[in-house]
Amino acid sequence: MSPTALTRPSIPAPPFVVPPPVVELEGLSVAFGRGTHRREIIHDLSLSVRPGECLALVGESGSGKSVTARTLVGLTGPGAQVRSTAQRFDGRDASAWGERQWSRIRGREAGFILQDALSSLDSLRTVGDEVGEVLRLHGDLDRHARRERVLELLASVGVPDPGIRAAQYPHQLSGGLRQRALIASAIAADPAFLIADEPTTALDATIAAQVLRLLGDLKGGSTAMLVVSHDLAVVAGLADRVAVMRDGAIVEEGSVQAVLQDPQHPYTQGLLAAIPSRSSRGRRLTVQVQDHNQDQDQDQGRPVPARDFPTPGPPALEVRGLTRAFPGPDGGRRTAVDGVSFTLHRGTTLGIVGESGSGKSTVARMALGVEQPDAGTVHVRGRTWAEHRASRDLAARRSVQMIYQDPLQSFDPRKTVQQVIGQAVAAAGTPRNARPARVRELLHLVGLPADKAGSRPLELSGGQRQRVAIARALAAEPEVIICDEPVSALDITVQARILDLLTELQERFGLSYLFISHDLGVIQHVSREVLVLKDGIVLEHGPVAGVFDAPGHEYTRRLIDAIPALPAPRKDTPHP
Amino acid sequence: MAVLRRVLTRLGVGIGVLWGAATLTFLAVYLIPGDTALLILGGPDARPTAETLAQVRADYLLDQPFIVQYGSYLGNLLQGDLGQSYRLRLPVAEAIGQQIGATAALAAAAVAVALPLTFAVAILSAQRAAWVRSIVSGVEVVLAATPTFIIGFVLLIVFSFGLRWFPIGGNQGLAALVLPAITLALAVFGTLSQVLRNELEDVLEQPFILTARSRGMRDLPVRIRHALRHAAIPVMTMTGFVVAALLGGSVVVETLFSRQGIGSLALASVYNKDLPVIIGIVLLSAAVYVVVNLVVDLLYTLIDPKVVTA
Repeated sequence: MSPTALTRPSIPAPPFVVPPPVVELEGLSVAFGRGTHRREIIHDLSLSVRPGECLALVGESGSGKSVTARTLVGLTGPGAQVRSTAQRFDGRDASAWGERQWSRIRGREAGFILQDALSSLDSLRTVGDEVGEVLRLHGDLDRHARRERVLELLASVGVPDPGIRAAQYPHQLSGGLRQRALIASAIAADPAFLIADEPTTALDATIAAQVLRLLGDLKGGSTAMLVVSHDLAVVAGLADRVAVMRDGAIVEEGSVQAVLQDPQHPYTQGLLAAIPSRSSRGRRLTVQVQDHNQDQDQDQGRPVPARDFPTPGPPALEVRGLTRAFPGPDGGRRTAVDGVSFTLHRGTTLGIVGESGSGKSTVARMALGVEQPDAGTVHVRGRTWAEHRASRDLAARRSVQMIYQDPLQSFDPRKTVQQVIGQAVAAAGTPRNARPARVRELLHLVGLPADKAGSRPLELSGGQRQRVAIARALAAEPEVIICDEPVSALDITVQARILDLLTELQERFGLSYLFISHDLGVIQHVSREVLVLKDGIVLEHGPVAGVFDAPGHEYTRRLIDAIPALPAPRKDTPHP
Repeated sequence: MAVLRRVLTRLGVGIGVLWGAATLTFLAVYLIPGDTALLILGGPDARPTAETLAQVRADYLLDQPFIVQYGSYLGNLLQGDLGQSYRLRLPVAEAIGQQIGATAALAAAAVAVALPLTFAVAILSAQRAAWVRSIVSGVEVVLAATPTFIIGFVLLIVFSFGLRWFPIGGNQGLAALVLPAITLALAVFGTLSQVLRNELEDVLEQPFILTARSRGMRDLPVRIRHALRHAAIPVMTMTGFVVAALLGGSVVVETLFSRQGIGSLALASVYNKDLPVIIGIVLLSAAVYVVVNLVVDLLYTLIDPKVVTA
């Protein structure tokens, strides 16, 4: 199946004003492997980027967006078979360029920013050496002038104390500063073309917003930019044009306004509908797309009833004054969680928001009863974990379950799905002869086809693994499920299906979720109440509407401001 | 400051290792059946009188209890006195000192061949076409699996007996050093090169390599300036293996090529049950290990900025 591309004219301008594109690609196809292993992953793709313009390539994992971006600078990878009807760089025919020609282009005329600066910078070299490498390779500056230029560059991307930072190693810098240093190294030679591949994916929301602003500043002028991202919202603030990729082809291309507000292709419509937010509360995130995934939900845009939980049930989990400290690097003790209290009511979802290091996972582990607090209590079924332990109450133990961001790490890779779930079913006290039927029932509940029972975790997709994890949690017929970033590693449409599944199960079984996420959109979509955690302290706690509409704390306001805004769909709100 | 503390800690551990080695060899000698006094006098063939035997026992404290013997042995060691060679009638230190130059030259020459060869082969063959890798890797496995004396024989037969490029043995001149050094080097190269290439291939998959290439750096400079340092760190832990291969290999190589050196001294001492020399050589090997590991440890701190604590 080859999806048809819907191309629209971009903003019309008189031909004599429009400068020629910096990069042009026509009819690109890329394949890896040989013989029967040969797999074509890019099919007949064309794109171009003009000076001063930012094109965004958007798609889910495996759509081929990164391979396309790398091909633009001749870095497709070893063993790749690249063919195109035309490839031009700055007006020159680049289709037959080899390593020698490309190495003169890279760095000098084309800069490349990768995600996760920690692994994208050489950890054994100083930041200054890394940034200065481009100048050493392409410029004729002497050592002293190079150092001056490196400090200028670091300052220009907003790195404070560049003199100190340049002498440090990547692991000594914070994530945001590292990403800035990586950007400085990409723009060091003032290239005419800049590629940013998932530039904000590994960063906390507030840091990501700063990096996006920096990239926006770079865009001004004559630089052509290509941004690769899985996140439509990130793209919305930065790009002029968007190309939506799926299965190695562009399915829709046009101006940001047009594509995001009035998407034509069903896949784009599905992507946009799948983004969780305030406005998506109470409705399903999945709409029917002509999808090849077999675990696709078929219920289309079905409204989810009774979503705003008018009447909270009795408390399912009560947390009072939890405090926990860990030994710090300097020999002292660092308080990870400080006096956290909340009540999770039956049948509702409590969202916990916080950036990395805020203590959210420690709270989760203490709520689960596997980590002992230094002070404070967790009440489950009317008694504390300590009391349950004393009376060896296994029913209480089973009534709180947990699912993780990466279920793969919580599975024995040699066990089949049947065995993984079967173990949990056995632990729940199901009689031996009833276990196979119970496993089948659980698989059905989480929307996994019965023939997946024989698969091993590594053979499953990310979404399917998370379904297995949910089935395992359900085996014990729990009252509370603690969800620690359960959808953070998933593609947007898969995330939508898992969130819909969790909602469905909640209604069906009256489950309570303690839902931890760094993604405010997800939290607003699923939660009735939200708790904002920073440095182990609860900054805010209340209904979603209250906290997000009238944040009582400066930090919450910054978090909310950092949510990349999508333009509202045109059909709902007419634009001036 | 941290580096100094690190050095001192390691030195302390090293002294402990030396003490352990000295004690273990002493125990081994003490427990070996046979009359030490008889050995000192030249073995049973010497047919010494009972008086001479008694005299020797008294001189060497052999009639004293274990703890006294051990104490005097350690005391002598601390003063640098390794004792007298039974066979050579020389102080052990002098006997070893006469031979150490030849072995050091051999080991240094072997390292000078092995390291550049390892780095060149690993850097050039990492992540290359499958057939290149399988040929190179096959040669390495054969070299790593073949006993040193067979490699030496083959080299001897081809280059000394056949082509007559190099002398068959002896210590005279550089030409005599070539084949022994290559033999010893090849024994180290096979294993080291395999490990280094595997490490390089892991490193070349890292995102920072892509970043370096996206700056316009060519393939070979990327391998040398970026990948090599990362790959060299795990390979440095192989230093112990290298030292062992050089020490053990020198026994074989020196015998095979009739060279003088510590290896042939060790072998002759074992044949003649010349215990003080054997103890001396064991202690020397232990000392070499301690010093080399200390140097490697310091190199870690130089290469990897993240290694700061001891």
